Amino acid sequence: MIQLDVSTVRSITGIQFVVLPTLLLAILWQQRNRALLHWVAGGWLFGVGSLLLVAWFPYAFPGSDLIVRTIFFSALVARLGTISEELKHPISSKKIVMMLVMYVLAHELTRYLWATELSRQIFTSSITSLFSLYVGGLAFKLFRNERINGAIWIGSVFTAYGVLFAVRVTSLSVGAITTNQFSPALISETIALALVIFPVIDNMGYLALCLERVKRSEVTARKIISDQQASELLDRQITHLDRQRALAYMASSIAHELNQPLTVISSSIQLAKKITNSPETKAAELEELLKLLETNSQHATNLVGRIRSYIKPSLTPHDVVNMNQIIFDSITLMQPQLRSRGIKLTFTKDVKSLQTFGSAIELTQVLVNLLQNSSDALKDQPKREIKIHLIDETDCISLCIEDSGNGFPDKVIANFDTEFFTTKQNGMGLGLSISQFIANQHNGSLEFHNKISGGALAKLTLPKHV
Amino acid sequence: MAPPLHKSTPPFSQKGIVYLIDDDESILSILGLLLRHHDYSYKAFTSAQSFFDCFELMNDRIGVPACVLSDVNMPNVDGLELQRRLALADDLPLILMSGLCSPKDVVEAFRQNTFDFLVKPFDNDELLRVIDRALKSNVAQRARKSTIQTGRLRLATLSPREHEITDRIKQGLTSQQIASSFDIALRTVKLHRQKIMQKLDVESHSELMQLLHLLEASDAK
Repeated sequence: MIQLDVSTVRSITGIQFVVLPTLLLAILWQQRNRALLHWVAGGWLFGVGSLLLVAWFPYAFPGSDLIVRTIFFSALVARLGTISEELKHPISSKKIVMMLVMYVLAHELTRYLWATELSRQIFTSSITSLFSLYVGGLAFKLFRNERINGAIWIGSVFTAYGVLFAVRVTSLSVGAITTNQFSPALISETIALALVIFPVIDNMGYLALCLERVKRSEVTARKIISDQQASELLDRQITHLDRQRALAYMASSIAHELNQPLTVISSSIQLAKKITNSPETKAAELEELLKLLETNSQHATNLVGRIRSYIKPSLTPHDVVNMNQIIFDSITLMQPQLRSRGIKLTFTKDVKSLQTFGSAIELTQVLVNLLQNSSDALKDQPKREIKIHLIDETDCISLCIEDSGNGFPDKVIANFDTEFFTTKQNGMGLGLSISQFIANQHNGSLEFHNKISGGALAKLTLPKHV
Repeated sequence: MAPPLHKSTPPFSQKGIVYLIDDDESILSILGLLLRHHDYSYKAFTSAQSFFDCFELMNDRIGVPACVLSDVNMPNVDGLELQRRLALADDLPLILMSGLCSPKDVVEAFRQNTFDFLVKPFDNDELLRVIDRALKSNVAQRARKSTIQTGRLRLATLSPREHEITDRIKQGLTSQQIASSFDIALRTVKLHRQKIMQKLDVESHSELMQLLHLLEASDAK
């Protein structure tokens, strides 16, 4: 059996307690938190305490014993801090300071009450034993709560440590050992060996605990992401279906309305052919058929006209319109949404008050529509900015809306005035074509460009009213 | 209020009469023109209700083949409801036509014995063919009905004993079996049998069986 004297054991333990937590800190640097910092600090305190004990034992100068013991106690308190942090019931710094102060006071009290090294050793060892058992118990509780295997290792180490000190307290009390010995000679080797491997188990246990935590949170995060993706996909499918349903409903009612006149027309033509082919052509019958054809084709035409007027906006009364007012109204309408999406909107107006002739409601509709497009384009952008410029072009007015998005995709540019063309899931694809229609109705124009610097530019030009 | 009888031709056509029901007047017009051109009689109605209002008063249908051609989608009483009422009132074949109909409508229509189902816009010749078949089926239906009526009257003239024997015949028993079941002579059974055939005005055993089963089927209804 290897002969290990007390100071060798303490040196090895001390060095391990300095090196291993340092390694731990390096490995887990990315996941550092209060619990880890407590753990590393505790480890270092154990290490420093052990090394100081080797250097100063038997206590070289007055107070050295207090320093060493307080360091050991702080280390235990730091461990307690880590475990309680992991249990989601962190102990406050105030409590920690209180514990340390009380420990120092109690230690000094024993010095004055009994004035023997033995009594102090019994006192400190008892405290260490109880504290270790407590920390061990908490570690086991952590295992019970979360089934993290690393906690078992920590719990085992501290329970063993607590039992070890309980044995020492008992041995000291019955006089089986002196204050210079750690334990009865019989089991000293076992204990020495245990002390040497404790730091390893202790720190590896914590490393395992942290890695398990990381793995679990990764799994949870991935699950959240996949849930999110699934729900987004579902959302997309639902809006798509809704739109399809709305279109299908519209189409089916149009089809139904058109089917009646088409039936009459088709039947009439068939009959007319038959009549003209037969030897005795009846003029009266043909005339009746022609009348049917006429009224029913007119019916169908009216129907198409009705659909068209349903899609196109009806004209609202025209008047002198102040452009600043239009812009102000549109911004007021859009402001809640822009604010909630964190979009910054700036409006530089020309000093003069510019006027056009037209429908304030329709022009506001165009502007809101353009702002809505920009707002949708900016929703997921890092830089969210919309700029509105109102420019006096001597013979006309230009209203420009610029955004800091990605600009229009090519697909969109090619389909600007296509009705029902949309890239949005909840749109009918009528926005831009209606806007363009309104601009034309006002003898103006609506153009779309992609800026060289990126982002979209919509330019509404309107005649100036003087 | 005068019943909204739309348009009609004198009901003298031997080919038959078609009752047209559609809420679209243009459809009624073209159908009317088509039928008149092909020598059918017709009466047009803009609603199923007005058809029923007049139906009781019409005696022109007696002896003339008839059928109903109606749209499915109409306000108030739709084609399927019409079929339901028609089945209760008379055995006129019903042809339904529709521009837009769900498969459910079609299934429902046929489940209720609709004669045929046409999709608008239709082919004129196809429509005429269907109407022709419907009228023929109406004729056959009427013949069957009168056979049943006279058969019933004749059946009523049988004596109680003859009734008992007729029941056994219907069950498919031979004269010998009937004789032993009643414990009478075979000759007596044969005499009864001859009498029954005379009274029911049938020539052969198979004709007798046919009539008896027809009457039974109509009773079951």
